[in-house]
Amino acid sequence: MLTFRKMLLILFILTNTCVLAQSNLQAQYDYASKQFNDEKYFDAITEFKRLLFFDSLKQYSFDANKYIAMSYKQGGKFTDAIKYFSLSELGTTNLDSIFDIKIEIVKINLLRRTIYRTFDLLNDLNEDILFKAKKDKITYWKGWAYIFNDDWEKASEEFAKLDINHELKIICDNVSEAQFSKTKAKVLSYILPGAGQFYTGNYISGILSLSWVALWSYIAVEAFLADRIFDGLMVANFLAFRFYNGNVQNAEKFADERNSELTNWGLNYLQNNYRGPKP
Amino acid sequence: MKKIFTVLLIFYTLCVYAQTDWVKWEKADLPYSKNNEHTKRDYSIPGESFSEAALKSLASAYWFFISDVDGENCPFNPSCSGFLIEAIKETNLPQGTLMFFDRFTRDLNIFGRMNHYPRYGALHLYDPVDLYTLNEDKIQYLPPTILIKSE
Amino acid sequence: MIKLILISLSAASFTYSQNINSGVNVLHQKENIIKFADYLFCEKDYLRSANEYLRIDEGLRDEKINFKIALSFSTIGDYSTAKNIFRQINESSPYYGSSRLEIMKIFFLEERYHELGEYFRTGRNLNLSTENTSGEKLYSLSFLKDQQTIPAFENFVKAFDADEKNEVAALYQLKMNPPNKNPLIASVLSAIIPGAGKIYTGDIGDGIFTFLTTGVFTFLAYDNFKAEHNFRGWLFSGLAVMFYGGNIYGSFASAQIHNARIKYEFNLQLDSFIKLKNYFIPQYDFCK
Repeated sequence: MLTFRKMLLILFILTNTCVLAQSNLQAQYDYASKQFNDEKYFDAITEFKRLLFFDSLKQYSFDANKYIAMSYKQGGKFTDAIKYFSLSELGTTNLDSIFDIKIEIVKINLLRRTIYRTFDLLNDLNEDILFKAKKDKITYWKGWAYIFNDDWEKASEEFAKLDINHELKIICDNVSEAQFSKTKAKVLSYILPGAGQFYTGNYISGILSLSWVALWSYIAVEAFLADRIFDGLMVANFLAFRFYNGNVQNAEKFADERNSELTNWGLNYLQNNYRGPKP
Repeated sequence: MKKIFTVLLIFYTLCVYAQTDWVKWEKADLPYSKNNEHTKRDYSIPGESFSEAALKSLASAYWFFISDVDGENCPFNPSCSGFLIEAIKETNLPQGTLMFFDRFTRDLNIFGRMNHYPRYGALHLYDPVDLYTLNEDKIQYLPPTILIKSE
Repeated sequence: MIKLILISLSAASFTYSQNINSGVNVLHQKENIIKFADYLFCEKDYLRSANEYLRIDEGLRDEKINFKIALSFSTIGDYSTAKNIFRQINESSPYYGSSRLEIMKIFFLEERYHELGEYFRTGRNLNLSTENTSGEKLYSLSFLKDQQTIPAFENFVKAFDADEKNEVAALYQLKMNPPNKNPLIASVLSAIIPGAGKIYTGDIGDGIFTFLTTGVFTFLAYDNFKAEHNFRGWLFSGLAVMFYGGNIYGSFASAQIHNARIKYEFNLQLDSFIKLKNYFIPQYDFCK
């Protein structure tokens, strides 16, 4: 027959070991978090993996996997980041946490520019009745997806749904208005060689294009008028037409170049100056 | 079911991407902006020898006045004029010229290119000078299935 | 009894506070480090695994751990570290034979076939029958990789098992008689008929276009001379001559590239065979 005191002792020792194991895991969690906060992401992953390995009750599954994912993200290892975010998602039943993780995955897809996947994920979230209350957040990230897809006009429309004066809407409008129309540049150059280049501000190239096309057209026409049909055809086909074609190609290329400069300006501005949630 | 699928998917990626951490990495720079892949010409003129400087000036003039305004006509990287300059630099004037004329006829052949040269970016095929100097040690065969530079 | 409880309590609280502050706790003790490192090793997280094993003092590490450290470094491509550790494994250790095979594998991957041969030959007399057979296979195949003289067929295949012999024999034949094209023949053919050399090397499209360009410029030269347009005649003649010369030159290059391709494909076939055979190293049971 155990005395009350002995029972108390056994109970105490049992709880004590349990507390000890707990305290070890908590200490490990703190240590791993410290590595993360010190931006030692590779080591942070090791320590969180250690925590997960010894955490037989899986109490840290959500947090540790999330930290591992965030570390991989910081190292630009996006595929691994998504893998661990998914593992983290399996470690919780809290709807808010699940939603946050799903948005983290959306952000990774933005950063690695798998934009179609981003849209798919956001559409899935939009149709999920569990996240009915999160429509605004979904719209917000849809706006970002359009930004990364180079579609500043559509992005602006999404942000306008949240607030007509949304800071991001204004930025998107600015970029969108400053962009050049590729079609316009091409059509201008079709009508008058070099005109598209003038539209995009590439004046020297515009003048060169106009001069070459004018020169070879003149020579070709002269040859035709002098009944030198073969010469005329050769010059028209291999020279005048070649430069005319190049002129249209260049107009489109310059519009493209200008637009991607503008896009990059916008993206850099957002990355460095925008203070709200971002990828 | 969905969870099983996710777990399977995770397991699969685990097998494929175990190599990420085989080299210790540091925090990476993750710019939002894209790399602009617009080709910038190298108009610099080398000061090593007169003939080289003259050749490069000629090529620069060709690029500026003709090549840049007559559209995309060369399917290869390096371009035909770039190939000529590199070929002469690697070998000598007569040999480089022969290499250029050979390149030009290959440029005209529009059949079966994709199965012959590796891809270089979205628009070009990779055809480096080193394959044609007749120096066997320099020949680094690259199969057409590989991608030299992504888009 | 009360005292005992108090001591236990204070000890617990002491450990607890220490854990939090220093981050050094039970999870970082030797046996747990080994457990965690074993786990990482089986997860193929080799760099982390090796680093964990290395946290244990050298004097406390057994041969198995050292072997696994070396194996990890070898797998992640840090060959010099791996070789150093493999070399330290004692002749009396059960891992000695495997270490020798792993070192040979590294020499093979580093394309240092001469050193591979030397290393194999110096240890050949040791009493390691399984490892000797496996080693001899890799040693034999290394001859096909190198420029050195290749042993006679009978000597070459004798190390291999019956089910390996066919494939090995095919590789041997391919190495001895590669379907190469002779650059000189290609050039001579192109000198006779422009483009013929390229057709001979398999670049049929290029051959046809070479014939056409040379032909067209020759015709233009002829036509212009006939019409007494002498300047244009000379111009086109010059171009025709250049295209003709370029065609002879290019056919030579084309044959060389063809041969480089044959060599590349042979090496690919050989490498995939050796990889499939896991460099003739028996599977380890560390992760069963």
